[in-house]
Amino acid sequence: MSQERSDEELLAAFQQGDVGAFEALLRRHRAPLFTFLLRMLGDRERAEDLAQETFLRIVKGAAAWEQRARFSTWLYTIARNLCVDQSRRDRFRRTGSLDETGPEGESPLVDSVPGYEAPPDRAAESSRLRVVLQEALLSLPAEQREVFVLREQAGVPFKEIAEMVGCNENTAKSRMRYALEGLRKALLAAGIDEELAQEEPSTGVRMGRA
Amino acid sequence: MTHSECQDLLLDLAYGELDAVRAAEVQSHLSGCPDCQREEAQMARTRRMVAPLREVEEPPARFDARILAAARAEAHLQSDGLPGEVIEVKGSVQPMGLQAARIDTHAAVAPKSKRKASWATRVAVGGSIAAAAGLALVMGASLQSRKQPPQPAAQFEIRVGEAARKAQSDAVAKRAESEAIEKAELKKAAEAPAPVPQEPQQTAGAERKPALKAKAVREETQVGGGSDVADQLASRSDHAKEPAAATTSAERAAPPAPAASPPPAAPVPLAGNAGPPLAAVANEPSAQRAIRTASAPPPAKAAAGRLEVEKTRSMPAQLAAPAADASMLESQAQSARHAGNYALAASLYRSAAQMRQSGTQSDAGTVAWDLAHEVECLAAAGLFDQARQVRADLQRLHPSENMAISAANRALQAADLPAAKAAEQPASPPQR
Repeated sequence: MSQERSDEELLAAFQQGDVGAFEALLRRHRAPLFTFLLRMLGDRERAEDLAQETFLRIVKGAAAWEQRARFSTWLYTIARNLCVDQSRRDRFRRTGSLDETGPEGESPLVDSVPGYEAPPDRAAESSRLRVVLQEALLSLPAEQREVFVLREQAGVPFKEIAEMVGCNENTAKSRMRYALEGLRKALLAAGIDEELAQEEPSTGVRMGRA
Repeated sequence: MTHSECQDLLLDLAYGELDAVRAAEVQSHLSGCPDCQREEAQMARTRRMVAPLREVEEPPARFDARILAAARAEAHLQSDGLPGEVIEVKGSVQPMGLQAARIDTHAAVAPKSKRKASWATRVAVGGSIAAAAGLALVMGASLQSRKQPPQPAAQFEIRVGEAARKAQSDAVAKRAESEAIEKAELKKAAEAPAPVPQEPQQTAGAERKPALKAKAVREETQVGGGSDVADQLASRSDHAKEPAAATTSAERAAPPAPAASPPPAAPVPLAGNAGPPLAAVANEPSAQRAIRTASAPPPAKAAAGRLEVEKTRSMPAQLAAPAADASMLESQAQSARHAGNYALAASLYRSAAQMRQSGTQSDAGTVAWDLAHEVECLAAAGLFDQARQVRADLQRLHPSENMAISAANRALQAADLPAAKAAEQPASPPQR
């Protein structure tokens, strides 16, 4: 029954004290949100931490939440802001220790994702492809990466992405174009071409909503 | 459709963001424009290459537990508006809630150190009464043979006394007569075998919240006997100094043996337990009496209560030092807010924010939200100038906390209409 309810209805129910409604929300969004953070950060542990933190903030802010904002927008905005904070902290840390990385976080592909672990149960090449893809993604400037991941993986429309990251829609779209172009070049440079990509393009995973 | 219009919309087309009419227009331009075709094809190719990035990955199974625990705690806080939700332990925790509310009202105006003292004093007085009543109720239900009213009180005198270390005896004396009536009532309740006599008290709106909170604690711990009362007292009285977040202690507390059976562990020695607190509580005659009574026969029951108290006091302390305190304040702020006491709620949020600020640094988001809630409460109380000041602090200290800032902005929207365009600038509210 709860699956049919929209995110916003579930959150409203949670505001009334219905924990089951919140559980449904969590079930619906935990994996997509975790994946979003994993793509953004390239590190499972940190992705898990920030995803948890995101939901905890949802819990905490639920009472003050107003129906005007869409739940998924709120969720991903929190997650995205946590990412921004995180990468700010990382940059401090990195400039302190690893000076050889490029200016402004534009680190070389190979060394940019020390924490990234490929899922253990994949075949070798497929796993290599994923690692290269993740590295290529992390080589993008953060502002392009976030637009790309929000649109491609989280399924957030450009208009909402623009609201989340604080730019206008055209800027969001042009960041997306740069991101796609950057990824294409990075993948070609890593020797990955279209043959390795078996899957059909789609509009991406849509976020749960009604 | 022009070529450049089409170029603009290729992404929208690729991601399915165009309605049917618009999509058809783009398609029709595409069919006659090699440039656009090339671009569209390349975009599709790139998206096929990066398709694996779309795969959703599952977080580990342990992921949910902490979140759901928080959600449950929050839900119980939120459901206060429903009458009849309060059951059982009401008698015991009710007066505590009353005390806590009163204390915090003072907290709004008093400087920190003083506030603590007066808070502690009140808890010492009120808490003991509450505890006496509460434990007696619980005991009355489970252990009918032991009906000596002062005895259960003693167990709590001791632990509450710890908070009362700096209590001033004159304050106690001043309040003595005002509480005489309450005391009498509670005594009556303490002698009663069941919690029935407490019922009428708890319909008073402001106190309902803490009672519900207590219920939440109870449900989560599922402990028997007086331990939930102990939990409640622990979280209340430790609030100023020691972290005893309800949920944390609830998660942690190992369910003790039900009231009827004695705990396996050795009873905490009374004198040792009472160390400094004993001396502090000694200021109050009734407390003295109570302690003496308690030390006389160490019944299994009393030991159980004390053990539980020990647990709640020490265990969360290792978990989350200042945050637990702050979250306690936040809970109280929320309660006050729900009860319509906005000025109090605002000051509680402020205290929570300060506490968090002086604590761990990774807490910026929560601090920002505390400040945002403070703005909301101040605005709700009509204190717009103060609210604007706090919002300015929030914007200055946490410029990246857009959600919190926009919540603060929303709260001040009505008041802001003429003046505030500049203040709204840093937020990018994700509202629709």
